[in-house]
Amino acid sequence: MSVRVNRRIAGRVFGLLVPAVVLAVLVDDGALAHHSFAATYNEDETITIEGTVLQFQFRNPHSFVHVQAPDENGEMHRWAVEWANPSQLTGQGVGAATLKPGDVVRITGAPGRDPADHRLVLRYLLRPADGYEYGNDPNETFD
Amino acid sequence: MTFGLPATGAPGAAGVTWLGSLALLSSLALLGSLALLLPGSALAQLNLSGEWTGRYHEDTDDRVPGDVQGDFTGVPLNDAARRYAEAFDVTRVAVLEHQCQPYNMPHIYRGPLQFRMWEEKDPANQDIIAYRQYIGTYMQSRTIWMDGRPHPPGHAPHTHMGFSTGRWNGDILTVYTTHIKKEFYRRSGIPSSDLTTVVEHYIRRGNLLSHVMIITDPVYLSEPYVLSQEFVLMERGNTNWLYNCEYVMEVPMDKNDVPHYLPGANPFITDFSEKFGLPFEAVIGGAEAMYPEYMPRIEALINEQAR
Amino acid sequence: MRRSRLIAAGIAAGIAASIVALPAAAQSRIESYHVKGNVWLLAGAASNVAVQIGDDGVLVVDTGGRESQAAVLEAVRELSDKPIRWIINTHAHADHTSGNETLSQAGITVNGNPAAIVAHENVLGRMAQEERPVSEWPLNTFFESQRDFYFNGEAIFLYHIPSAHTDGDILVYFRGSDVLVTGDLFVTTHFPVVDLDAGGGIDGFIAGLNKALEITVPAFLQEGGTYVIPGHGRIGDEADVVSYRDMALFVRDRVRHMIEAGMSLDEVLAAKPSLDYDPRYANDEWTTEMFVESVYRSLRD
Repeated sequence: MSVRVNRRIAGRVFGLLVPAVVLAVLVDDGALAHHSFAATYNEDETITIEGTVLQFQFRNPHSFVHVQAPDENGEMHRWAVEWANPSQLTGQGVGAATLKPGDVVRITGAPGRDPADHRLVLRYLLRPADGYEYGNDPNETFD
Repeated sequence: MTFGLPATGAPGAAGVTWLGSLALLSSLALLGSLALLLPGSALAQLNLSGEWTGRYHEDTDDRVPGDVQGDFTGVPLNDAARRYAEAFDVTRVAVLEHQCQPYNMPHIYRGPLQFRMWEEKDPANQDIIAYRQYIGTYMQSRTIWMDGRPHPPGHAPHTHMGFSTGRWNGDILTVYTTHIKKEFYRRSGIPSSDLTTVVEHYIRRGNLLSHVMIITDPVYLSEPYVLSQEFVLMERGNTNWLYNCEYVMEVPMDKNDVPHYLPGANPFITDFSEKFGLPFEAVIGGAEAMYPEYMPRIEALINEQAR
Repeated sequence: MRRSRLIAAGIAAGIAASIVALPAAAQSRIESYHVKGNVWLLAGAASNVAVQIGDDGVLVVDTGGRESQAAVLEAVRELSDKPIRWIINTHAHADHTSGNETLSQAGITVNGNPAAIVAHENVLGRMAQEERPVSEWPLNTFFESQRDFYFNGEAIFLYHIPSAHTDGDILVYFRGSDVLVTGDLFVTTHFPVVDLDAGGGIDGFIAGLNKALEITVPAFLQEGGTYVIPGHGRIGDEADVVSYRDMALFVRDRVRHMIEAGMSLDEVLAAKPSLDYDPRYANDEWTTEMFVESVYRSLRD
């Protein structure tokens, strides 16, 4: 279990996410209306954590995954990973039982503006045990 | 007397005139009967019923994804509002009691929404008692009373939608709302107080609906805040979702800890001005910076800025 | 006159003057408003009066000021002709308790005595100290953190909040009706009044508001559900208490930060730590300066 902090601008990942944002607009996304992601997260940065799922809050206004994982210094924290709302997730094949406490996951996303919050907004999730993936792997390239 | 029908020779002018009068009277009677089946052209109100969705233009970014942090432009905010916005930490929305707070009445029409509007009529005389609205983003319901009832007393509770009464001014529905809960005007943290009152005008042209709001807030605005947004009638049904908000501990924190910035300590307050190269004084200038007369000042400030 | 004396005088004057929003004419005109369940609000006295009615009789929370006591009694009688059995005082201040004698004497307990007046024992101590008429004293007091009893088909909880507005504040919660009466711990008309001379404190005030938030539950989207009758002003719900709590917390944190930075009272006042709330909550009876100074001294002393 580890954490990698990538301070590059995640340009390609962001580009691939644009259609999802547009789709969210068309389906009248209350989560977008709820608060500005740009104000909460450093969207020009990426961070990756790897740890154990403690809780999956599948609900409005936005879902959260709580993961027990170490920070850069190896200190364990309860990370709060913000995800989309149930309407969006359901349309993408994610349900309340998709993640379970005890699942080992690797999550990449934009970190919260305050590092002390130990939070990030999910861009990519991998569950190595069965290869389940969500989103776009920032390390994946396309020719 | 004649009614414009040409006089002919036979059977004689008087006879033709009489027939012409009869024909005209008959036509008028027919038209009058038909008119009873049609909405009265001079007295009937425009029909605002239907499912409406936002028609976005250059205001898309403002109405949909929301403000860049530090965007205070276009709002006649006063010093109290400036301080409030400066102290606003957006992570406050993770506080338990803040999570399920929706937009209030003057805010929701400026956000992403679809709404359904319909009439409630008195079955005895078909007078419109109220207009009802269902606003899908947060599953909010709203009533605009048209029956002349008074607004509640000052000690009555406030709601997010407030208490509204309306009347028709020609083809414009004008609505007055009081008893609105405190919330925000913009997602950048500009507050609206619970003393806010709103006048709205609903103006329909074909399938387009112009919605104008004139917001008065003695606490946080230096002058009325005027907003307009466009909506279009949807041919197909509303795509409203269901918003079952649930309170959970999203980010592990002390339940009673409410994030806020101390004066002068907000590190993001200049994000918008820096992103767009605008003088911060202009961005937070309020009413003074909203009108064309301010342009020379902006030019002067930009010239003073370090390149 | 020392500033602290001015503050105390201001507190007493402001409280006795029924706070602000009500014009003088309204003081003698009492309006009743059904809040929820068994509970009604009587507005227009020097402070808000809550009335619970039912088959068991009438329970009154706070009794208003001296000038309005007759009108309050008349308003209670319009709501119910059942006997007034219980009076509860949320704290000792005169604008909340000066009608005690009138309402108590007009009421009767099951054993034939005037209606019982219930409060935290610090309220009794304050009234005795201020040499208030004995007939106004709450003689049914408690010293523990909470008390409960059953009346008119519902449980009623009394929670003591130490060192808040005063040292004798209580929250009164009607469980069946789902109505919380806060006394001056929550108002919609002015800044928190931290009565230092009566044992109040800003930290305790915020703790009291947090306690209120543990009790309130909104029905939908932070609206409705548990209704809250404040000491002064309009009926609220959890969202209104949240706004008030946030304000008190922000101002407290700012003043504390300034104290830690070594700023004097005058420097703190000049920094305007409550600027974002002044237009809403400051008034002639309880000014910004008085509020900020009370917070300052509460944190310093």
